Amino acid sequence: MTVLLVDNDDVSRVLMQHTLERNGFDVMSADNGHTALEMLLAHEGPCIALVDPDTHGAEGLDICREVRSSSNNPSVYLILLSSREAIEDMVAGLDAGADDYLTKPWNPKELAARLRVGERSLKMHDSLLRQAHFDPLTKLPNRAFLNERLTACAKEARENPGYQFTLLFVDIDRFKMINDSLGHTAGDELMKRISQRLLQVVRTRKTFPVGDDRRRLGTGPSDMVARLSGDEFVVLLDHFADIEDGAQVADRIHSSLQKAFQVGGQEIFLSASIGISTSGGSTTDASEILRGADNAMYKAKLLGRARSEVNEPTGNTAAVNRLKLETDLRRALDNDEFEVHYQPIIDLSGCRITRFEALMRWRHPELGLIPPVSFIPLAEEIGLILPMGSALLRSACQQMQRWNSQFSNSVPATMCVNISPRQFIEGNLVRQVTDTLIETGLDPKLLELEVTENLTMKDAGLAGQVLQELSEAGIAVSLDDFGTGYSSLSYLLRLPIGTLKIDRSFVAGIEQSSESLSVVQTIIALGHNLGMKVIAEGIETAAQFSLLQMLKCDFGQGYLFSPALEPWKASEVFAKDRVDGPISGSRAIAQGLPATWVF
Amino acid sequence: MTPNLEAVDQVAVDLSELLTRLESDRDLLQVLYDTFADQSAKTMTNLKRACERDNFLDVQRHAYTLQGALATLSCLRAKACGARLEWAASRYDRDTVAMEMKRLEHELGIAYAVLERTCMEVAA
Repeated sequence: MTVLLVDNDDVSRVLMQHTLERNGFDVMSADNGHTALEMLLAHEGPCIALVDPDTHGAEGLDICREVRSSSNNPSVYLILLSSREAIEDMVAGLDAGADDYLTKPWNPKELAARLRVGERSLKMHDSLLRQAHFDPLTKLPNRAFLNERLTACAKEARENPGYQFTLLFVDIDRFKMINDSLGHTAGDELMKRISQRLLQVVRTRKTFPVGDDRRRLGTGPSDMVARLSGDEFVVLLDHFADIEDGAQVADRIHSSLQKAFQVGGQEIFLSASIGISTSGGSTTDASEILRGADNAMYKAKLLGRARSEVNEPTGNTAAVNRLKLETDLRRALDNDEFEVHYQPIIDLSGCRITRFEALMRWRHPELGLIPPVSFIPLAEEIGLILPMGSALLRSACQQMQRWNSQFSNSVPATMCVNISPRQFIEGNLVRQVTDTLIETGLDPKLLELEVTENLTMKDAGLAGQVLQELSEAGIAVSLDDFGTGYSSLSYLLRLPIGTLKIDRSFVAGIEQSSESLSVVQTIIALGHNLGMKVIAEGIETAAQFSLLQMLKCDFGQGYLFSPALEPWKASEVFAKDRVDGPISGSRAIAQGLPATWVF
Repeated sequence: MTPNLEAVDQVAVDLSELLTRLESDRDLLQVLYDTFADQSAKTMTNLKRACERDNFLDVQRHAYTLQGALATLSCLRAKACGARLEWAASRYDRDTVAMEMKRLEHELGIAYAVLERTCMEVAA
């Protein structure tokens, strides 16, 4: 602990220095008030100041008042050491903000004891300060600390036209799912690693909750990474006016998070949605700038995640946006704004289209095409998923029936349709599916329903019953996102599941990570040993394609072959496949040509 | 050492209290005395100059600083003079200031003598 001596009496200072050093304190010394004040405000961390109230330069009482009122260094324990013994002097000193008052001549033992009291008090204060300002898990500044710093930055932006700052609102995509799958201990560990990566892309110095005086943070800019709650972070970029510069930092964050995280023996791939807002706009109000970044993040989520969006101030809050999305969703169903797109699934050995996955898209009148991750969770939450799911199933079955009639001489393809948890639990699923099949005329064998691993594990009894009924009706079921949850193998064996779909996160890592490769290899072997087919999701490179072929994976889908296509485009692709043979992209890859997709 | 001086010693410097506080650390006492001798000489020069210029604020300030050093070394009588000098200066009472300055010089001389003698006794 450091003690600052402020006294222009040399004899007192020499004796104090001797006493303090004997008691293990670090000593700084000042013989006038101005220097003392500068030293106190510039010192980082807690310290004790022993001040003679009648020090030249600045009255000791003024030092007390200044330190207390500026709030720049709340962690100073102030002891006044005076030659004045009158009770009025002591009261004036304590009223000015001193923590203790001693008179000269002081006893070294008593002084040491009083310093220990000060030390204890500071430690407690520091601990409370840390609890109040830092997130205990990541050790990053918390919301309260961010708000303090934001308020100070906003104040500076108002007073100094040359100063601006930028906020990045960072939300980790699908973190809840990871947390649910891996468990909270691994989720916490992952959160710490994410924090470390965020810190690596910004310019930070040691920061304290110090109010509005920037001297205490040293000179030059200092960014801040704060954890707001759960998987939400805010990055404050100090002295950053240009939104483009902010976007560059956001890109660095995207790149940083793309590298695999090793947690609990697993490799995890993450992405983030980032909203960018700057003080350079129409407002310098701290909470509005933060809200702006939050809104922009929300827009990034809505437009497909793993991206950044810049705030365009509308005054809307995230809550208002959510309400608007909910209203828009309800209206979308009435206005027929949902479209079904189809992603081809390729037989990896023959490079022919054997299946299509039906995926819902929302063509929003203002925002354009919105991917399912941006609206399905809300639709699920508000129950709209039931009519939406029903419409998707009907469209997909109709489409498949049309295609198979069109190419009746070829081997028919199968249509894969995702089933949401709510449909599974509440929707009288078996009845609904069989009715749809009758209505559309599609052969039950050509429909495969995709359910997630987590869904089947959540209510094993119900899942087993529904899957059994579907099986009896001749409808196949595949297990989606396999490998991301906690499936019990003995349980899996009992379920009538025909296909395992390997989650894209494993496929993404098979080129670089031997662990991902092993996981994929194991899933394929497991599936085959259980008599199942295996589909690899998210194939994006020729190398992944070749590796999966080598591992005898049955089917694959991904951008290497084709994204999800609008019905007319999917029809064209399917026709080509059926008429011309193996689809051109796969043929190109098979012949060692660049994997440029040529649909 | 004369009996007279011995009698004055008891009042001028409370050696017993001082040595108790310093835990009989005579080396420390020597350091403090050297510092005091140096500082008080400068302070007295400043005080005299301030008195000559009727700068009562400076008189108060220097008198206060000197009191701190005198208190630290248990020079009770000199410290009391310093307090009276500060008080007189605060009332712009030139005559009393002049009188207390003389008393202070006198008491300071005694304090030097006692402290120096104590340091020498230890050294011997």
